[in-house]
Amino acid sequence: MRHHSGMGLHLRPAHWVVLLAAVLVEGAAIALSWGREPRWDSVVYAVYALANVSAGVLVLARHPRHRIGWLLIATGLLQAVVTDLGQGWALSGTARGWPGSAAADLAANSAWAIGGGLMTATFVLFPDGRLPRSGRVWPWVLPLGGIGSVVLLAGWATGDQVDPLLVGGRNPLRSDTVPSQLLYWVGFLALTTGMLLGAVAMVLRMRRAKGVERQQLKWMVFAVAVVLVVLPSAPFYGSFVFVRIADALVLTALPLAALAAIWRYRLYDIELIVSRTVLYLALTVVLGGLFAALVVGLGLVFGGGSTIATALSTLLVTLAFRPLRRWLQRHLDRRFDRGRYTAMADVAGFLADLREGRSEPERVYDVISAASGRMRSPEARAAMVPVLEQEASLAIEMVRLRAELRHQLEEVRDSRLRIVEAAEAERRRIERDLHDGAQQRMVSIGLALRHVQHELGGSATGVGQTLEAAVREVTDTIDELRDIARGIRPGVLDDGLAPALRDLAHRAQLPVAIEAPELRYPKDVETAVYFIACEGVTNALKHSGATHLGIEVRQLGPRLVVRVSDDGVGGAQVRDGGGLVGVSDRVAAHGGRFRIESSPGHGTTLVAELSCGS
Amino acid sequence: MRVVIAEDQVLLREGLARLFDDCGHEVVATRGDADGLVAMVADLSPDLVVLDVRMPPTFSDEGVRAAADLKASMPNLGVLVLSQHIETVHSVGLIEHPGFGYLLKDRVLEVGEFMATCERVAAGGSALDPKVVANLVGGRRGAGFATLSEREVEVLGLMAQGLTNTAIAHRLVISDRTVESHVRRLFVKLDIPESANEHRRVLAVLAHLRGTAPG
Repeated sequence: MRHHSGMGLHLRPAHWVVLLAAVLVEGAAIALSWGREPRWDSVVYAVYALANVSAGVLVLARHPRHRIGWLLIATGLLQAVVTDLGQGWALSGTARGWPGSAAADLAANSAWAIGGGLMTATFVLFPDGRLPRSGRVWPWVLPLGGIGSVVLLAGWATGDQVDPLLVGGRNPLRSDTVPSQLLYWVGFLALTTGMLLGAVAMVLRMRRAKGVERQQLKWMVFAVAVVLVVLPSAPFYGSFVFVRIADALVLTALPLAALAAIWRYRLYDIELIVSRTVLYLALTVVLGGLFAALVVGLGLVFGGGSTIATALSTLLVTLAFRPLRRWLQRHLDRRFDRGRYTAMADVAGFLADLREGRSEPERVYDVISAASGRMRSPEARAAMVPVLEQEASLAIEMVRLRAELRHQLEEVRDSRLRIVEAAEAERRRIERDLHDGAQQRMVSIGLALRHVQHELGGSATGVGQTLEAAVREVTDTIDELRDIARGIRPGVLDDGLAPALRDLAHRAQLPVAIEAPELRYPKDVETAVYFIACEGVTNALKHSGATHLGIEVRQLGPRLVVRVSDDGVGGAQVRDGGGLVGVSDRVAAHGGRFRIESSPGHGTTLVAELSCGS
Repeated sequence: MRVVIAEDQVLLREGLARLFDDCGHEVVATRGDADGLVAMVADLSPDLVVLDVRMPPTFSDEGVRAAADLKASMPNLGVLVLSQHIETVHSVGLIEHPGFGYLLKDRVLEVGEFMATCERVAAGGSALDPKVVANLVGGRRGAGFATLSEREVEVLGLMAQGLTNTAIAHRLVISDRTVESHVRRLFVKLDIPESANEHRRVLAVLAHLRGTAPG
C-alpha cells in the first residue's frame, strides 16, 4: 500500500474553490428547479452532488494525488453542473426561451451514462487510486465500462427513450439513421456488465487482500451491497416516502464509503457495522412480520380491531425483542466476524471459569492477549483489546483489588516482623541488663560482704552469722535473677538453639527427647523456636498427663519445622487465654504456620513452621 | 599461691583480689582485658590465672581463647575460667588439659570451696562447676545409669567436678574407704576405665557423661 503524505488535512485553496463552486452551482440549480419538479428530488440530487464533491475534496486533502478523489469530484461536478444546473436551466428556461435550454435538457438527462462509467472506474481504482496488479476480471472492466458508457450515451441521446423526461417532450437529436435502440442496449449491457464485473473484481480482491486493504475493500463492498439491495425499490420511488428516503441515503452511501475507506475510518468496525445493519434490518422484518401476524391472529380471537389484540401483540413483540436480538446477534457475529466472535467467546469462557473457581483473576491479561490473537491483523487486534478489557472488567478489577490486598498484607507482615524484632531486641537488652549488670553487681556485693566477714573474724561471731545470712540472700537473689533472665531470654541461647533445647529438656521433670540441628539461625528465630518449645512443654506438663515428651526441630529448605509431641491424653485446642494461643500468635508474628495434631487418646503434637531466613 | 586476675567488671575484679588477699594468697596483677595477657603471665609466672569468659572488645570468647593460649604455652599453669552462665561450648575443648577449671561466677561466694578449687587447679587438678555437672548428669537417662544409687550419683557428680577422693569424703561426710568403694562400683557399673591419675579420671567420667569416647 502506498502511504500518502501526512495524516493532517491540507485543504488547499484549489479545494475550497471547487467546493464553493459546487455549492454555488447547486444553489443556482435548486433555485432554478424549485417548484418545477418534486422538491424532494431537487434536494436529493443536490445532496448527492455535494456529497461526491466533498468526499473527493476530502480525499485529496489527505492524499493529494489520489485518483479517486478526482473521480469523485468529477462525478459530483458532472451531477451539479450538467444534470442539476442543466435541468434547472431547462426547467426554467424552456418556457422563457433561454438559449440552449433544449441542449441543457438533453445533457441533463443523459449525463447518467457518463456517471455510470465514472463509477465503474472508481470500483477498479479502489482503494489506493491505482490499477490492481493482478487478477483476471478487472482488465475487462474499464474497456467495458468506458466503451459501454459512450455507446450507451450515443444510443440514448439519439433515441426516443429520453422523450418522456424532456421538458420539451421531444429529443432534438433524434435520428432515424442511427440505430439508437441497438446502441442503447449494447451500451447498457456493456456498462452494466462492466459495473457488475467491477463490483465482482472488488469482492475477489477483498478476499485475496490482507489487513488494511482488505478492510478498505470491505467498506466499498458493503456500500455496493447496500445499493444493490435497495435498488429494486426504484420503481416505487414515486409512491413511498420510505423508498425515497432509502434511495437518498443509498445514493450518498457510495461516495461516503469511498471516503471512509480511503481515510481508513474505523476500518476494524466494518464487520460490526455490517453485522449490526443486517441485525437491525432482520429484526425489523421479523418483528414487523410477527406483529402483523399476531394482530391478525389475535384479532380473530378477540374480534378484529380490538384494543386487546393490539396491546397483546405489542406486548409479545416487545418481550420477543431482546432474546431475538441476542440470538440473531450471536449468529451474525459468528457469520460475519468470526474472529471477534471467538475472541468474545474466549473471554466469556474465562469469566465462567472464574466464577466456578477453576481459574484465577490474574490470568485475565493472558486470556485477553490470546483472545485478541484471534483477530487476523495487528490493527484489528489492537482495536479488539479495549473491547475485551471492557468485557472482562470484573476480572481486571478483581486483579487490582487482590494486588492491593497482597500489598496491604505484606505491609502488615513487615510491620509485624518489625514489632517482633523490636521486642526481641528489647528482651536482649533487658536480659543483658538483668543478667550481666545486676548479677555482676550482686556477686560484687557478695564479695564485699565476704571481705567484711573476714575482717570481722569469720562466721563464728554473731555479726559473722548475720553476714553469712546476707551472703546467702545474695546468692539466692542471683539464682532468682538468673531464672528471671532465662524466662525473658535464656542466656544459653547465645550458644545456639540445640544447647538451649537440651537445657530446657534437663530442667523438665519428664524425659524429653531432643532432636535439633547444631546449626545457628537468626537470633529472633532461635528465640521464637525456644519459646515455642517452652510453651509446648509447659502445656504438655500441665494438661496432658504424658510420660514422654519430644522436641524435634528440622530444617526443610527455607523453613524450620518445630514439633513438640507428647503421649498424653490428646484433645488439645487453641483456646483464648490458653498457652497455645501464645504459640499461635508468636508463630503468626513470624509469618509462619501453626497447627495442632491431636486426637483424644492419641497424644498431641504441636507443629510450627517458621521461615529461617532473616 | 600467686594469682593473676583478668576480669573486665571493676567491682568484681577488686572483690576477687580482696578475697584472695584475705585468704592469704598473693595477687600479683589484675587486668581488665585479655590483651597481652599471655606475655604478662609469662613475665610474672603466677601459679593460677583467673579469667572471665567474656571480655572486651567483642564480649564473646576472649577469655576462652586466652585460656587456650595460656595452656598451650604454659602447660603447668593453673587456669580458672569464670562464666556468667553455663556454656558448655567453650569449656569443652579446654577440659582436656590438666590444671584447668570452669566455674560459674556466683561460685566465688562459697569462699571455702572456691579456694579449695583454686588450689586444686593450681596444683594441676580439674574443676567443673557443679551446675554444669548436674546438667550433664541430669541429662543421662541411658542404660547403666538407672542402676546407680543416689549416693553413687552424688559421688559421680563430685568426681566430674574434679574432686579427689579425700575431698569427696570430706564433702559427703563419709570415710575415704567408703568413697573408694563407691568409686570402684561406679566404674564397674558404668564400664569406665579406672585411672589413678585424677585428671584422667575426670576426663573419663565426663566422657562417659557426655557420651563420647575418652580422649
